[in-house]
Formats: sequence, C-alpha cells, structure tokens
Amino acid sequence: MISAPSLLHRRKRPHDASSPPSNLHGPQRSRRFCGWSVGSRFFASSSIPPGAGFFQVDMGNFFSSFPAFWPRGKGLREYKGLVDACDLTTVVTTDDAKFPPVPVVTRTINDPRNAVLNSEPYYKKAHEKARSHDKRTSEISLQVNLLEETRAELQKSAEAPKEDFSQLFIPLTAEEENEVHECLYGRGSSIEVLALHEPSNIEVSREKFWCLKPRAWLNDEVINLYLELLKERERREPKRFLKCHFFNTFFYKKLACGKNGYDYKSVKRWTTNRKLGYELIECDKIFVPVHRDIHWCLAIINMKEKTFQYLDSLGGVDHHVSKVLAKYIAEEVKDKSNKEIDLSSWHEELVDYIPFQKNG
Amino acid sequence: MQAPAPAPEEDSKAGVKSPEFITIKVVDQEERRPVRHTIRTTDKLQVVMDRYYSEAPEVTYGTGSFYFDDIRLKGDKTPAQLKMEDGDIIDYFAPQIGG
Repeated sequence: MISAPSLLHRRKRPHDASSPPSNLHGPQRSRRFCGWSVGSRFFASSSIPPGAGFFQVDMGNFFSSFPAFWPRGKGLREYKGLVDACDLTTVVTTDDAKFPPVPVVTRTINDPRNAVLNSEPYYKKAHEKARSHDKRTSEISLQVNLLEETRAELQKSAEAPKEDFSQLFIPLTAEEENEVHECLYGRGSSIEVLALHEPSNIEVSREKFWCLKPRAWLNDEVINLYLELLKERERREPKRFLKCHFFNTFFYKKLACGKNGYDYKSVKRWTTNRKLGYELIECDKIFVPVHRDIHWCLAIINMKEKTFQYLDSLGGVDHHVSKVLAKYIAEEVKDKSNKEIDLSSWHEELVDYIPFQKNG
Repeated sequence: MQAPAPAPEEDSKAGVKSPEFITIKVVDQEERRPVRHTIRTTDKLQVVMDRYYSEAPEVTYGTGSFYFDDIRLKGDKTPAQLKMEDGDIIDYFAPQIGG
C-alpha cells in the first residue's frame, strides 16, 4: 500500500526504485509529465485536455465498483490502494519494466489525447450533463411558484373572511335568543304571522318559521325573505358590498321549467329599470336560487369574473343551469341595455369550496 | 268575460276617476287550468286569490304564493296599486320545500 505522503515524495524523485508499479494506462499518461519541474507541472496539467483528467477519475470509479470482474493481481490491488489513498487527478510515477502490465483493460491507450480528440469534447459532455438537470430544476421552480401562489391565496382567503365574519355575523343577545326560541318552539297559532316584510309582501307565519328548526326542510318564503334582506343590506351600504341582484326562488322555474322549456319572454318584465333602478349588466353578481324538487342549489351569474357558478351542497353537477343562464343573460342584456355579451370568454365553474351537508 | 275590456280602456284615456274593470288570468306553472277573473282595479286582489283557490281543488287554501312578474301579491293590494292592465297574468307558485 502506498500512502499519500510517500506518493508526494516520489513525485520529486520520479525514478525512485520504490515507485509503485504502473500497469495502468492512466498513470502511464502521467509519466510524461512527471520528470518536469514542479513549476512546469502546473503548466503541463493545465494544458492536458480536460478529458484526460475526467477519464482517470472515471476509470478509478469503474474499477472500485467492479473489483470482482478483474483479475486479482497485485497491480489491481495496488491501484485500488492508490484510488483509496489519494486523489487520482494527481500525477503518479510508474515503472513499466519492473512490473509487466496486467491485462486490466484490454484496450490500451497510448496517447489519451487521441481518445479525447476522437471522442466528443469533454466540455460538451459536461455541459450536457450539467444541463440534464435544467429541466427538472425548472419544473421544480414552477412547482414552487405554484405552491407559493396557492399558499398566498389560501392565506388571503383565510385572512379576509375572518375580519368580515366578525362584522357580518353579530352574535345574538340573550334576549334575541329567547325571542328566536319562542318563535321556533313557543306556543301559538301556526298561522300567526311572525314577520311581515312590507317591501316584498312576504309574510312569515309561525308554521313557515318552523322550517328553520334543525334538520327541517327549508321553504321558499324564508329563502326569498333572506335574499330580500341581503339586497336591503347592500342598498344601505353600497360601498361595502358588491352590487348584486337576487332573483327569487321562482325565477328559474319560470325561466326554464315552463311548458315550452326555456322562455325569456316569461321573465322579461321581471327586471325593468323602472322596477329595479338598475340594469343587470351593472351588477357584479346575479344570484339565482334553483329548486330541485326537494333540494336547494344556487347558481350565480358572476358578471365580474365572467363565470357561471353552480353551488350544490350535495356536490351535484348541472351544466344545463349554466346554459340556461348564459342564454338568459345574453338576451337580457340585449333587451335592456342593447348590448351584446360575448359569451365565448365566459366559463362554467362548479364551486366545490363550499360546506357540504351530511344529511340528505 | 272579455266584453268589458274595451270600455275601461276608453275610461282610462278619458280620465281615471271611474273604476275600470280588468280581467286577470291566474296560471300555475303546469299550466293546467288558467283561472280568469274580472275585477275593478280598486278591488282587493284577495278576491282573485280566493277565486283561484276555489277553482283549484288540489291547492290547499292559503298555501303557495301569487306573483305578478317578480312582485309578490298580498290580498289587500289592488290592481291599481300595482298598475295592472287588462289581460295581465298572475303566476301561482306552489310552495317549494327542499333540504
């Protein structure tokens, strides 16, 4: 075995008798330069084609990884020792005469420069090798960007409603809680009107109010009244809320479920400027409750984002609703505002980031 | 039924003093049987509703809603208040329940 210090020492005295055997072409190549002075060695090694050094290292790795395939001669063991003991890029002195070459490699390369010249230039290989990771790197960076964006969005959506919720949903006082409890479970005539909303003429009797009990079926009146209240809130504070229009629960039925299917004329008069004071084209969102026999869904014509959204707490999908509403909004805008809507840039969105009901 | 219709139109052109008669049609969404009723524009709409309930035996009295376009009707309102005209249609919607 040869230790690194002795190797260094030998470099200075290249023809020392104790120099290790060289039956390997790598060190053979090195021998050319070993007789030179130390100062010139730097020059020499810098003038070696880069492929040569690369080749050496490669061979070393190759040997050490497949020791069993090669004859277990002294040379190989010594070479392995070299590999273990020192950096192979350093120059090793050898003596061919003392140790005849062991056929470790069948093809001997006398002048490694030829090999380098005949093969592809090293820098090309190195460049390609380095570039081979580029694709993956760009993929990773894309993924990172995507994840960052998603995270930012989630953070935003997590933060935004937090402040809103505290303002929008004020907890009921004890007194109000009692009142609600009285309405839901108190005694009294079932047809007694508990609430009358003058502008919409919606009366909520005790019987209708019961639909707000846990696990009860919701009726049209409470939904329509709630939508009216949402509109009132928006009118009160137009700067704070999006401009919305809320159709009642009968609109979709009238528009799409008549005897002749879709019929714009049947709802044409529902949205005159005289009644509303605005046109639908000015709205950010238009809400359309959809009653599906025994289940409530909600469709939204999102004018701002040019989407037809469909919300179903049972996870249902209905492309027909979007088609009907697309047809409707195009006709409505043409009729009331005399404008054309280019629906080709609109798309359908099945909203799935909503609470889902577990009953049903 | 349609006979009094031209007369009120003349009236409305002349002036709005005298009560005019209009015929209102109530339809359900299945368009089973339209119910026509002629009333004075100053009469309460409850009359029309009662007429509808009486002619639609499958409908429980007092249930469902009557709409004139997007306006929900209450029995104590009059056609004049809602600016209803002869031949206008009232929609009857059966109650909707859902979970």
